[in-house]
Amino acid sequence: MGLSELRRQLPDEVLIKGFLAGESHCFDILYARYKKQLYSYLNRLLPGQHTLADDVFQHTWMKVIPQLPKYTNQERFLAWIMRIAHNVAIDHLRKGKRQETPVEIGDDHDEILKDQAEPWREMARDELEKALEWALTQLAPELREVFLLRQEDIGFKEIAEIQDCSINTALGRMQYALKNLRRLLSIWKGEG
Amino acid sequence: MMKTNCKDTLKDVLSNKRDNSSTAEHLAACQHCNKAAEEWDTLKDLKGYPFEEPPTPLDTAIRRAASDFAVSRNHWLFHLSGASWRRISLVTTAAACWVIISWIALPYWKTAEKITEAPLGWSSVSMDNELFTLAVSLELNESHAKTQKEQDSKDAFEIEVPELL
Repeated sequence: MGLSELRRQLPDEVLIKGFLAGESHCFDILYARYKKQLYSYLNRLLPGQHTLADDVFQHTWMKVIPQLPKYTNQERFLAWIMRIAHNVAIDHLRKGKRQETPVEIGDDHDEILKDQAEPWREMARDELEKALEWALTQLAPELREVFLLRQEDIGFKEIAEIQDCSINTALGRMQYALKNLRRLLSIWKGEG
Repeated sequence: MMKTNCKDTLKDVLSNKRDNSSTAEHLAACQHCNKAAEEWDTLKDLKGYPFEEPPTPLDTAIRRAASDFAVSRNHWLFHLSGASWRRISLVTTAAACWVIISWIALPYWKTAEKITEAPLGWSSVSMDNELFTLAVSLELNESHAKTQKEQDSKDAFEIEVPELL
């Protein structure tokens, strides 16, 4: 195993310390580790708005770099940069028109469970991917964000911190997102 | 004990925490929760398209910003660790205290030096002839007076002894 390969396997916090000690290649490794994940996430969070996604991506890293000395291991690095990306995205969206979609957070899990539709069962993977991509564009931003963050395996506690809400609200949004996705996938299938 | 609450089970499912035995039991028994778990298992892996690379200009700008930040941080003042900063501040404070104490204590020290100075000891004699002569004569006088005093007291002792016997 070469030295560069060993470096690539270093934990995030070691790379951050290395970068802060003046080893700029440590940042390159860290950046390479998360850039694709963050870029893809932002493109899905802001569907059809590639320029905005690019802006948010760049501004996120520009904010991440000077804040690296403040980073603590208490939070996963991915969750930390997602939180910064969320704030940057909110700032950008505030500049434009943004319709807040009120989300009812209640005990609608029963309703979710009662819904017998299973469109995801009846679609091939490729078709389901396309359908989900479209369905995500139809979701309210908060719901889309929770779903995408869960796809990146960000925990509900971290999502709650990112969205500045309670864990129950984050969980409720996730359930609501799934319910809406099920409905939207059924529509896609019906139209297809 | 089986987790009968569908809400709690769904929470565990969506949090990818199914190791809990009660959740597993509930999933095995509850058809609705099992279906929800299957659905989430399918949807969570569907990321639509493979990870995209950010455009090269973005990459370049971000790497340059990081490099600039690293250079500015590498200035020796910023490069010092917390311990180094503490050491520097400790030494500086000690030096400042020493200067202040010296400044306050200097006049007292000079006065004390004047008082404790030996008035006419050999060490205080200068090479000036007159002063040297004076010092020697005074020293001799003092020595003579001392000897005389000792002799007197000795005589007195000798006289008193027979009386006591």
